[in-house]
Amino acid sequence: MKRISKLLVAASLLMSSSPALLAETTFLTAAPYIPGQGTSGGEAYQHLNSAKDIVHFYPPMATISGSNWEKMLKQSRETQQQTTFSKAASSVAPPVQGCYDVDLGPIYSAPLAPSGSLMCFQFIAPEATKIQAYVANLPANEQHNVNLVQVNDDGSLVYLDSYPGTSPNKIVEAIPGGPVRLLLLVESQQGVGSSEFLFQILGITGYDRYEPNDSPIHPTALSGNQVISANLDTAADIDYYNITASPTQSNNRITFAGIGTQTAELFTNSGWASLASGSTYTVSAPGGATLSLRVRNTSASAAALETYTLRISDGGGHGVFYQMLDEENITHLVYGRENVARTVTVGVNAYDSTNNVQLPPGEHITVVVGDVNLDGSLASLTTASGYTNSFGNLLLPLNIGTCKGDNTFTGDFVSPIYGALKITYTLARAYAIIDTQQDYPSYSQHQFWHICKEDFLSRY
Amino acid sequence: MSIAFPSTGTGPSLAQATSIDKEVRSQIDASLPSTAPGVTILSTDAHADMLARLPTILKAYGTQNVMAYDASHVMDALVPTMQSVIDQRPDLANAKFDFQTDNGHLKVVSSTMSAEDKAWLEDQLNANKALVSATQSFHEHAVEGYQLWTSLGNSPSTSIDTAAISAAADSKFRFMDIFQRFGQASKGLNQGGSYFTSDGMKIDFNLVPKTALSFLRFAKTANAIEAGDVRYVDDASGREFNGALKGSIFYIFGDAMPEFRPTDDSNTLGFSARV
Repeated sequence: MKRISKLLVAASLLMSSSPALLAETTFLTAAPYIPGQGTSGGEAYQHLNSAKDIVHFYPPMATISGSNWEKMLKQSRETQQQTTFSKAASSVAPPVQGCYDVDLGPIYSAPLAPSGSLMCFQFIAPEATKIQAYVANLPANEQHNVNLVQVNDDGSLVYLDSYPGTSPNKIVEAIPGGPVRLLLLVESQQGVGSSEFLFQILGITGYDRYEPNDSPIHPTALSGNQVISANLDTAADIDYYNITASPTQSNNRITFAGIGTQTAELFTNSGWASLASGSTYTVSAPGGATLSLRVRNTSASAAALETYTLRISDGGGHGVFYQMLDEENITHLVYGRENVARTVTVGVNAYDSTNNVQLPPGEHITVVVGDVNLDGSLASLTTASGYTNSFGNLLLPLNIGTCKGDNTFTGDFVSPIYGALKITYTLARAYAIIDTQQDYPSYSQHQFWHICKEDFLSRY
Repeated sequence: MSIAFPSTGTGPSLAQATSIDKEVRSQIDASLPSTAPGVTILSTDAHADMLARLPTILKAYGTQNVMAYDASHVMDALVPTMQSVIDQRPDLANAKFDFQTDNGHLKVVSSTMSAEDKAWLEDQLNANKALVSATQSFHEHAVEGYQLWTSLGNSPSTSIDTAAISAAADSKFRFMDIFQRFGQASKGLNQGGSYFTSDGMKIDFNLVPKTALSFLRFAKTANAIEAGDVRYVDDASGREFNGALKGSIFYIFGDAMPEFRPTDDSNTLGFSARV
């Protein structure tokens, strides 16, 4: 059976750049429960809980408040705090004195340090690996902070993640620039120690750019107008997201598209609610609220690395016309507005309720076009819809046909190119509306001259 | 609550377990708040919802233009009264004033006119039955438009007292201000040349009707444009064109009319900028 007592040997391998710091630092560490080697069945793990299995390091523990660990951690937090990707160490730092060597994968059990001291475990994080440390069974109502710390080859420390507080179960995670030495520190701010806790450190490859986000405590932040493509790197992976919308965004449109047993769940006023893949949901929330969403597999046998997409947009947004391109051979001599005959390609994009942020690709926009009657009502010409492309734009060819409005004008127009013409035209209007369940839908309108007829009279 | 690793009881044993991640996450989830107040899933088919409401939406959008059409009638009806004012009280020809509906009557607003002059002008306006009728039509369409918007609301609480809407409409719209908006909107027509009416008057598109006199100039210009009885002289070539400018500015620039609709985030009377 492997024992972590080999750390006693490692204690002599002080990092040359910080011997003074480490010499002053003391730890209370414990022998873990390690998976049995070569055993079978129910004996695969052996619970070693007798006093002789607890390894104490000397000199006796120091309080955290007086330790250099705190100074180092504090400095690290202030100057180098990273919660996702950390800078790769140029080479792996030597083992840290007083920390237990642990491996990725096994479940360990260890006794807690008494208040004011900490337990330290160290391991090497491989290159391109997401590191997750799960800690369980910490005493309820006692504060024990769990930290994931990177040791650089110059002895400096980089604080990667922390889970403070009194929760008995904690997750810390990071994607360090490996290979690099990491420390899992379990600090005790309260309690007398000795009670046992469990921990397990996992290394996972194939993660997406939005990792690490396996903890509801540290979800990946998304904006209220965003499309992402991510994956569940293992069947057990859970991706947590926090969607923070603008203060004016109270209608949120959320679309999840997953594969197989992937499911998305939104945290609502009735708890976690499933979002069916491929459906777009309108979610009402107070403006500026943060929405919590997670994606997971419902089957433990799901394949790894299967991708999914999430789209979030402002349901209070509106379409904006940027093009009204006539497709026919007309003179365009009527002043003041675009001249459009029977066919036109309209260009529309969409913006959120602040008017400043373009809605992400995939926005469904409906365009309604009609001639304007004398009394202001609309004589409908056509209605069509489409989805914005990867640039957020929609180009929609429309056949608006001949004039239907009851208020046409006829005037004489002359140009050196076209000569003299008598042109009959009317005012037409196009509206662009996004799919919305907002009480009072926003919109944009664009007016143009609908050319009913052009008669050539004479040369210029 | 602790996780049963290792266990000799009913929970999974270390021998069975290869990971504690699910249990840890489950326990963390259980320790967090169980609901997110105010976060509600409304529907999965907003497109169908929008299409079902589209006729009402378009009608609500079009209210602005209906009110613009009404404003053109107000302008026409106001002309004889303004001419009469100039005839009877030339001292008020350049007095700045505005007027609005007030519970079925017309009320004059002015920071420069005396109370007596305002009362006199108010009497003149209210004596013009065509004008009162035109302003009432405008007012009724404003109220109807607002009610159309409220009918689009998903919440039953969007129903608002008609009297409150009417009072808000009285307060919001001042007709000289509306004329000024359309006068300014028509400035866009003045491109690359000059327009002249049939009697040779050069059309001044920079119209800001604030007085009886400036209103009459505005009305004359608007009517000339609507009749199409204007001549355009191109700056570059000096060539003249007839009939190139035609149509009511209230029709052409209907979107210059201020919107009157509920705000998106409340069920109270309010106004939002058009987007």
